[in-house]
Amino acid sequence: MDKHLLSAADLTANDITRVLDTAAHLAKVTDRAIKKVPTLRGRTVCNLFFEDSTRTRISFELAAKRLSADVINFSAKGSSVSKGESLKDTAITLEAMGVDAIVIRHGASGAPWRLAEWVEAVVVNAGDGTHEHPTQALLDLYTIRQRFPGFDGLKVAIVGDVLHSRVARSNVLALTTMGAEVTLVAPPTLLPARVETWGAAVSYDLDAVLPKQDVVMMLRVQLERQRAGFFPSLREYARLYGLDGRRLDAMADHAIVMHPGPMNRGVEIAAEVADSLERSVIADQVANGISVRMALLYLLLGGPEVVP
Amino acid sequence: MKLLLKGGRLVDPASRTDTTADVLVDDGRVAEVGPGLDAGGAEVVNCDGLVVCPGLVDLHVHLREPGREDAETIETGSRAAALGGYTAVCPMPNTDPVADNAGVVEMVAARGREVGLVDVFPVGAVTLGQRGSELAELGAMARSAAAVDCFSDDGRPIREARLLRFALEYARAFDAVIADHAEDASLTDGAQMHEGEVSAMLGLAGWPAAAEEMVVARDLLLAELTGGRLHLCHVSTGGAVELVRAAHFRGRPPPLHPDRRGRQLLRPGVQGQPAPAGEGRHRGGPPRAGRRHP
Amino acid sequence: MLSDASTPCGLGALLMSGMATVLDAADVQRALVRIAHEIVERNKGTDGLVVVGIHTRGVPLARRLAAKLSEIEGRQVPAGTLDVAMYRDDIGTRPPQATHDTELPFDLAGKVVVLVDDVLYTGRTVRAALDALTDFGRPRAIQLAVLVDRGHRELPLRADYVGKNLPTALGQAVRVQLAETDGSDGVVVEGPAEKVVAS
Repeated sequence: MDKHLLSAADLTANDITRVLDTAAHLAKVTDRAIKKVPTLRGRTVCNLFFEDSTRTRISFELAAKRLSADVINFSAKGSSVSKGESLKDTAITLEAMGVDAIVIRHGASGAPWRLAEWVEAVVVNAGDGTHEHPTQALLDLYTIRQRFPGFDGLKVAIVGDVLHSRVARSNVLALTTMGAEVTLVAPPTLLPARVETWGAAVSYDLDAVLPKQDVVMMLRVQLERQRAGFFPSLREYARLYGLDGRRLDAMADHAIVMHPGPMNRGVEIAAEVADSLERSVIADQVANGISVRMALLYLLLGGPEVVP
Repeated sequence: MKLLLKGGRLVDPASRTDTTADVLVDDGRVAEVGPGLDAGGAEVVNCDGLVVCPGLVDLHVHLREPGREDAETIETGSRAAALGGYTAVCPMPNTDPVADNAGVVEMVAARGREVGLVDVFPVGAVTLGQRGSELAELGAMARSAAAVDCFSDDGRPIREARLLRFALEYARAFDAVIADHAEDASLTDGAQMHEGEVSAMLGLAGWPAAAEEMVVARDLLLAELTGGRLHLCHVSTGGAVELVRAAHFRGRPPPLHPDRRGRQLLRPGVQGQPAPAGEGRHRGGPPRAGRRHP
Repeated sequence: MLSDASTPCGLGALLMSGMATVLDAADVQRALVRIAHEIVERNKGTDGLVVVGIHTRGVPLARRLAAKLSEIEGRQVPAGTLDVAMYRDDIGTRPPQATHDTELPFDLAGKVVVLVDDVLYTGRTVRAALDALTDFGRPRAIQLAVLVDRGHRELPLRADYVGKNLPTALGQAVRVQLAETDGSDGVVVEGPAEKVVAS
């Protein structure tokens, strides 16, 4: 594996398998009385979050702490950044303090790459703009692997605002690396230009695609997209692209429903679907996030320092 | 029920037919076409001196219902259309209330079926109230019983390029056409006729060809960008035709079908025939003759 | 390059540059049987006893021992597995090691745990295993059983039960083969012998 984890495209099929296998073993740490292993004792991991995200930040924090690493949290609000300090200066400060890894979430696509230029620490992309979210893709794959024996030929639909979704981009990359067949479903206004070059099929018709899928991954639609004109109304969006009870019944019996969260109940996903115990693995995704991030931190920090 | 249309002038551009012949209709379907057909128990209609042709389609009518039933209704409009040889009409959405939702278009389509004289295919508005600021629920209209597959704000040009872009893209999900009226309103304030020597002499406010061509150019570029289906209403200048021709030459889909004042129009999938040209009456805006092209 | 004749097992004549089988399948089996009896003797039975194998080859050895113990005393002795990758003291000095499952299907409190591994060498793996085990609970006692003790301890640790004492040179590699993982049983030493100083 590379020194950093910036993009899902950096991971080979072997890398992904390794992360998932390691995560499966580390998942058991959560079941113990002492939920800790001493592996990264003395290492410092910094959560550098320029965007609000309680869920991802806590997931990384718990993952690091379970490996006995020290964790510092840097959120943009009320920090030097809000006083105008640039990303570069923040990076230099952290570097001077000697952190071993920086987990960065930033609103600008590409920010983790710039950060990696300025620091010696290991950089993990926790979401950059509308570009990528590789750890989310890994935990999604882990969750899928809990329910299905393999990825080869597995039919996965990703439904919703693909245009603005970093989760979609990372998942398409990781799933196609593992040999899955991905279909993107969205209104035409929410599909990126030249999306046909992504290696996934594209459809505007959710009802036509749904019955053949093994996995249906719903993306969150942000309410401001309606105001910006990408579709006429939330009501119409829900009617055409929302996963409701009727569509759930149209899915194959073995098919599962995923969602990276947070959900807009009633828009892209009906409450009855989100709460469906047999089909929805959404709660599993959250739990799996910690195991997968533990595995990543171990694999990225557990080796000798890579001298550039 | 058999019907023999005897001795009329048979005109059908699709098969390049223009000849005198008989048409035998059996149970609502054309059974045989040729000279000197045997009546064989059919009701005979003498078509000597008449034109026999496939039904005409008017892609742009105003049936004024709901809201202005004092001016026209779906029934009166259907009767006029049928009398003129039209078997299908597409009423524009500038009714009151505006046809910008499934409820109104379903009502218009249902009324058309109830009257039963011609097929009525309602055109839905692109934006709410035709105000040009928010997309109407195109999906709801497309999936409704009216099965709308053409949307237009009719005489109100869509000013924001971003909105037209979204409309063209979004409509792809339903394979629908967006019909835009190409006019930059800031250049045509108070215009009464084409801007040129004549308007200058007469002292009438003019409407420059550029006001149309600018928007045609913009719309064509957006159609290429989005791969959407664009229809240009009321194309009337030579420059606009050049732009369309150039777009076709670049070979980008989709096909574009300018509407001319004379209502010459072919919509893919719809059997159509140009209406007879040279009408003296004008419905709607003032004539914007530039260099007309046949 | 023959080793010192005072080598306890008299293997010196056999150790040369290259490979030598120091235990064959029968030897391995006999050693395990003997260890099982020693365990029973020392603990006066198998009451409260559990066997835990350290990944990788400690695991099949532990299972065999548990089976043998169960046979001798006529009551089931449970076996578990322990992965020590997360507890190693060389994390950060070499690429991250592959992880395996830890399965301890019993409560450790009050039990005597017999840790099992194939080779005892520097003692660091056992140290990691002790740390891992104590994170799971507090056994009454921990004993250590190994198939081969090859010397060169770097920590003050010793095994309670040893299949074979095998002095080796630092440059040599001791490879344990087991039917479950490698197809057949045996212990092989590879590499050049040096003068071994009798301890």
